[in-house]
Amino acid sequence: MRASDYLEEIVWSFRKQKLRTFLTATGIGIGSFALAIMVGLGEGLQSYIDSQIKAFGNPRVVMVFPEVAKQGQKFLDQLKQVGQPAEELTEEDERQKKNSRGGLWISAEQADALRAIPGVESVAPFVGLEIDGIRLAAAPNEAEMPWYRVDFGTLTSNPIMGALTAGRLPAAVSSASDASGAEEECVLSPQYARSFGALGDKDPSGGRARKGDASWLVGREVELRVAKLSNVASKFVFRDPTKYKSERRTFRARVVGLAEESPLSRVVFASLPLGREMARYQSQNPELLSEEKIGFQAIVRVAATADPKKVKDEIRKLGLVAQSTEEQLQQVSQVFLVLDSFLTVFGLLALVVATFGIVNTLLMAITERTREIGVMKALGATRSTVRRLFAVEAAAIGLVGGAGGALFAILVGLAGNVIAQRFPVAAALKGYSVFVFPWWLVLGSIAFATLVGALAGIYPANRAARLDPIDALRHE
Amino acid sequence: MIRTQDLIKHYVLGGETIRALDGVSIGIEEGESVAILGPSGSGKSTLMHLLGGLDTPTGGTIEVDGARLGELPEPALARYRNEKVGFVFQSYNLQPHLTAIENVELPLKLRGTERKERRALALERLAEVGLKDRAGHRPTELSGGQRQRVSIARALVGGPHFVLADEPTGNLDTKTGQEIVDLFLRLNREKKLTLVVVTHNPELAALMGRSIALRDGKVA
Repeated sequence: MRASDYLEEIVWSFRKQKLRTFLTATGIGIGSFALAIMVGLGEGLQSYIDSQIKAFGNPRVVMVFPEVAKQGQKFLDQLKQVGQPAEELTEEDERQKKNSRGGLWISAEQADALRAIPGVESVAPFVGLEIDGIRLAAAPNEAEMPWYRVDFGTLTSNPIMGALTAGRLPAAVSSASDASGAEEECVLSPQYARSFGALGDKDPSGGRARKGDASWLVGREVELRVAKLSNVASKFVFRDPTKYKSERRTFRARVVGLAEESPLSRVVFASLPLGREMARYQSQNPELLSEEKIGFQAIVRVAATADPKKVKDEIRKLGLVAQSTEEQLQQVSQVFLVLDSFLTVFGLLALVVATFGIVNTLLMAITERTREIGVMKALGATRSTVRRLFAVEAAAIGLVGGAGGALFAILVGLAGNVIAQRFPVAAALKGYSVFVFPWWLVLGSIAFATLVGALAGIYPANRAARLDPIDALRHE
Repeated sequence: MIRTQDLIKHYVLGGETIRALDGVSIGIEEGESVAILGPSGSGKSTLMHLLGGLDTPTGGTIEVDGARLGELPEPALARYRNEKVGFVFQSYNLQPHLTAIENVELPLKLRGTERKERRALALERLAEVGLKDRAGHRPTELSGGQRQRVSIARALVGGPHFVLADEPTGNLDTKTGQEIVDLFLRLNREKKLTLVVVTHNPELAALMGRSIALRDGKVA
């Protein structure tokens, strides 16, 4: 038979059993829908993260962490202690308690070793800490401004996420000894301009903030409020950091630049000397971040001519952990990849379940059409013709159901994307679509449904092909 | 043209071997009209199935135009049915979802003939059996006699070596049955169609050029 004749036979068969074919195809459609919508959801997350990697990930900016492996070991040791009698307090324990911020540093020695690696352009210490509140420092004729919350603490040296939209970076300071002469400066997220500018009559931006212009903030001074470490701990219990009665100090910094608006956080990047001062105050440890211990982490910039991978390998040889910002984001991406595959498996399961519908439908059709099959065989249909006829019919049910399901998934997904914009979380994540349907997903889920249909058709088709024409002709 | 030599067909049914055909040797020449006559259980249906290539013998040989059917693999046997045999059944066996002309086209469709060509050939055959004006009707819209004519047109459309008719008048009243027999005989006479009619009806058999009587799986 010609291909067009197979098609004609299938159309006939569909017409003859409209409801049954429709229901079977619907079963496949639900499977295909589940697959497409699940993978579409995963794709939405994935593409958002990919866009973040593209925007903020940089293979040439390498974060260097001190011996994290030891921290892991410490955690495992602690696990072993669970339920055991208490052990004697050692000097080492006390030392670690004193340096309560983990007690892990990048030493000046290590920083020098990092600088010595070929291809390393610069090494900058990194200090992270909790800032409780931020406010615009009032000009002499202005009233006191309210405090605002800070999402993440300060980072020093370079705003590693995104680019600057205005101004310049805080004074770059690469070693502790340079700290004395450096200015107390910071870079802010432009969100603060909106917060500070939302003060009605007192609006220090003169209305510019409401028009989305944050540049007025450059050159102004802000106050940063830092609490002592014990209070930081209590912050996890009492969530309002701006209302501490306990000991805290206010630091002043001049805003010298604005960072690219980050969807995930409002950041304050302070210059290194300021960051250190705040960290020493917070930890109540004047030895923190000395000339010996330059930072909690280090940010290594790799020269454009060097291979970041080789540089990272060299860093690892020093016993340090090296990770580019790109890799860090990719790790997040991998978590979602796992989530993605779970979702996909559920979609696939739905589709596989639907195949039983196809098998059932075809077996019923074969029983009903036994005599017709017998006639076709008597008239010269070979086994393979009969087999193909039913296999193609099964694939066609898969194709129709798959296409319907994928189409429906796209409609539901697009509607979902519109609805999601009403929720602040999704709206805040700029450029994030909850569901994304790339062409390969649409074609892939249709193709997969077709394949699954064809596979489901194998057994019924073989059964039809093996029918004995004489028995089939006698069949009532 | 058709030769069988010591044709044997045994079935095993419920542990018992049934000798449906037990050494049948017959010959049918081109252009002949032959009745295979016998009561039920005589083996005439089995012989028809073997001649039609629907079944393979347990022993002996069938030769049609020099080809030995028993040795043909399945696809070749299917092609034999398609090209050399025209089946006419007692209960017509038309495909219910197809129109008259689509039913007639079916053997050519299975052969892979192009749509336009097979439609023309099918229409020609329908005209030959006097049903040109019923081409677009489905079997349910046709009388018994008309259905049998459609099935005869279907048997002829592929240009077979012989037509194998199984009780072709069994489901028809006497008058209509006679018309069908007349049609067969006319085709035999005018088109030199080789006709093999399987029947238990001696009156029908008497109208054929020759009768081969079967009894208990043997030529009587």
